[in-house]
Amino acid sequence: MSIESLFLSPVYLPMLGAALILVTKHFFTDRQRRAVEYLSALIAFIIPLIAFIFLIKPVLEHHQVHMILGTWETTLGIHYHFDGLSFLLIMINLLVSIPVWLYSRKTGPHQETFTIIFLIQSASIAATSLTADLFNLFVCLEVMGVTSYVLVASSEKNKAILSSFTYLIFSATAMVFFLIGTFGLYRISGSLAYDTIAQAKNLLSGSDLLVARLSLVLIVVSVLLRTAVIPLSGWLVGAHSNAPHAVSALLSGVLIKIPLFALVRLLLLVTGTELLGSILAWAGGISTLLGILLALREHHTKRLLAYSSVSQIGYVVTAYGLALASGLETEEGALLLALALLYAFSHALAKATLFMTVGRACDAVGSKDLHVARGALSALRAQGERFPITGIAYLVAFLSISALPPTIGFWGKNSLVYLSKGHGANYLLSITSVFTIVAYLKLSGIFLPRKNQETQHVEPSSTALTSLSLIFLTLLLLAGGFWYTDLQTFVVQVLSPLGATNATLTSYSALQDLLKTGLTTTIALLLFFIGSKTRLERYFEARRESTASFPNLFFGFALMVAVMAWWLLFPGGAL
Amino acid sequence: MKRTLFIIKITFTLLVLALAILPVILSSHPWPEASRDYLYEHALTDTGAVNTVSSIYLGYRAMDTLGETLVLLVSITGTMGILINLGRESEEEEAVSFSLAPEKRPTNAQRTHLLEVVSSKLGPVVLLFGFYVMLYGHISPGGGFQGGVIVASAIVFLALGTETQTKLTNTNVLGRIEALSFLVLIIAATSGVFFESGFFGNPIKSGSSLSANFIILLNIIIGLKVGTSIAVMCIAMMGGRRGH
Amino acid sequence: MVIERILIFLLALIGFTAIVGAKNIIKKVFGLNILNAAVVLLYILEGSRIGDQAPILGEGITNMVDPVPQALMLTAIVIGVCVTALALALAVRLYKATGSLEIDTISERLRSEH
Repeated sequence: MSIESLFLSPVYLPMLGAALILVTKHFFTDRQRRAVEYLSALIAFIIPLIAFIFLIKPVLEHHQVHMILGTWETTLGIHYHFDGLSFLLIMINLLVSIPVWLYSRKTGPHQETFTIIFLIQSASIAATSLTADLFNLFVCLEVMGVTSYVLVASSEKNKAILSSFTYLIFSATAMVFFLIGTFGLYRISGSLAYDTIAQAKNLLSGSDLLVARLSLVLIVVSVLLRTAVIPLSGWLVGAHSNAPHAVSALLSGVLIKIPLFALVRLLLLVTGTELLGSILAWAGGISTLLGILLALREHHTKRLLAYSSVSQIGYVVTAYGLALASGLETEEGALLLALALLYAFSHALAKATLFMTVGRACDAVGSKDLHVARGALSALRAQGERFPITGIAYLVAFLSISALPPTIGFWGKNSLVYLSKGHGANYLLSITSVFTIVAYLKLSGIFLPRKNQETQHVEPSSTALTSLSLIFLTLLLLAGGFWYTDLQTFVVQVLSPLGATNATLTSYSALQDLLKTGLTTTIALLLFFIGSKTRLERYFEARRESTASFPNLFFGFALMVAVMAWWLLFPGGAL
Repeated sequence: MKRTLFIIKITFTLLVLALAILPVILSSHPWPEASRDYLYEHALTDTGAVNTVSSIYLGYRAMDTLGETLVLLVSITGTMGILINLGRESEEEEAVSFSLAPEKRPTNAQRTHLLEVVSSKLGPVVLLFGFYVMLYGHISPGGGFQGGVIVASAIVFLALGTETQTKLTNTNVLGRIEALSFLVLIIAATSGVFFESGFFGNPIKSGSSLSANFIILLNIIIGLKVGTSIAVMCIAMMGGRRGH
Repeated sequence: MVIERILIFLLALIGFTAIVGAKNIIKKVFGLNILNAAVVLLYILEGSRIGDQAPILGEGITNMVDPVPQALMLTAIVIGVCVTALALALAVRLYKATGSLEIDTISERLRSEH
């Protein structure tokens, strides 16, 4: 099989799997449907994974495929582009989706149609990573969106319904603005393919350039909404905290990162995006700090994790913005983009593990309130977990997200912060590292033993699949840490056709970082103990849950558009 | 104070976004003609369709249509899943599990006899028209989605009326048709991979007189899928037919 | 000419105001639909400037309108309808849960839940 037929497999195989499950649902019994669900997951996830292992070699040799779907000979068709970036994004999706799906067999939503929607979402994620056509990006983002709304609402709690509704209205409106942007760009260039659009735009001047830039701003902000940087992040807390655990893991892990990197393909070809990058870098930095401060105020476990997602995605967006600002063709830009992708990967693994372990722990203890929940380890043991896998997985994920060795997070976050030196956002990132550790120390309270030793009566439940998925993620977190330099070289080399050829991270000293990490951890521990011993914490905490209101959400949207439009239209010296 | 903050936020939002979309809407760049000219030359020979709009969304850009079908599938599945739990609260109804609780319909007494007779007479006619629109999509305005929606409304007519006895309003039968047509659609889309014409390519070589068959096939499948799934949702919301 | 586009712009603005400012969630869904309709009209209107005959090939057709926006908008309309259906289902569910259709009342009542 040629490379051409292999790389599309993560798009059509999940669709095939979903179709099979749908047919089985209507024609056969429930038991057979459940069996077919396993078969479909095999087809949809394992076969593309194997196919992509075969594709490692071509990708390392910078073999790119640019094709028009259906082999028509005109730019009217849909262009798809496979290269290192798509490879990495699809691998992130597969490596996180497999354990999440296994976890959902026991814990997750038990509706008949859950796997169907899960598989369709996986297909749309793969298609978003591959597409090089603007309207196809719109359709793929809409499929991703609709599946998210339905998956969040599958929790059947009333708060989840409200969060899903809020997310729906906000995201659907943003996609209409995306359409208006597409209108502008199609008018300017006569085509919907990225390369034709970029070619046409780079030749423009005058009022046409104004229109093209505005259209691009509308498109970028609509896509950034899904990434949830400040000020566009109001929807994320409700949606990710009220969704079922498996869905939260997938949403926080994969769905907030893929649209951001899918946009790289377009921004790569368009000139003059340096200022856009600077804005993104600052937005990312502010997002990091603000997110973690809001996380510290929370005493609901899943809301804390959701705000932490906002904070961590800020790191990715900062690196991404800095990459754009230096220009993606330069060595520095390519390296920053590679680090952004690597940190996105490490955060995906860590956050998915955190949501899954904390979800299990809270279910076992019976409460999601940090003041009440204690003694998760013993509760889990009462449920039948002989070896504390949940606790260990939580520990490794905690280490990764706090950037402590030997996990992938340690190397990833520190390299990223190191490379951002020289830009103001660096200070924000460093301060946030301290607060991240404090917040997660606070979260770890649920694993402490109970004050009063009352035993809880919980039915034992078999945990084989859940343990399997947690072990898989833990191993990935640790393996990423041990072989980080190899991983980084791989990613840089795979991505480098986008930019320079041989970018390496020189003059990076691990020893310096160990010292810095030690300092950060000590300060964090001090802050945590001061905070918990005194009553300072109680005053700082949120009294009531804040729900996102529509005027606030759209105010954030308008703010982002205003900032970007201002800078792009009055470039102040640069092109 | 809260009120003024609200007003400020809304005014700012409206002002900024209005200013952002106004130049794009009022742009005076001439509309590009290259696609229109290309299609004028090549649409018939490439895809076999005379209706150039059909040749675009079922030929050149068929992946978008597939995405659209997926959105339809997911949203209808989601809608039914969200509304299905409402019916569980009222247990004294017969075995109709989807109805909205205030809409209890133990009999059809709320509908007038006029409605029942007329709609059951109209149903088959509209159904025929729906199939016509579906099948002629490549020659005249129409196509899978349009025809499918008309078929769905025909099935709703048949469900509202009582003069006709048909299996077509049984949600199980409709669900099976939907599932099968979705499977055939995915197989048709992937068949291109194995027939060397790429994903969603026309597996029948273009230029021959048979190449329009692929578009007709796609129209039928999409029409059946869309029609049956929307009909299932409407019938479920109506509370099912008497006797089901 | 320009007046048509100004009207479309006003339509889009009305839809957007309803989404942001309306208190009733059904009205928000109306607003989303109006906004979608405005954008669809925009595409079709502008695409029809370059010709005056329907884009179906045949005898004597020399000056078709641009079929590309029409094909794109077919997809956009269907997606808009599907999203509306989902939004309305969520709205019905919210009404059953809280007894109200006003967004502020709904958030208040759900906030104090469990």
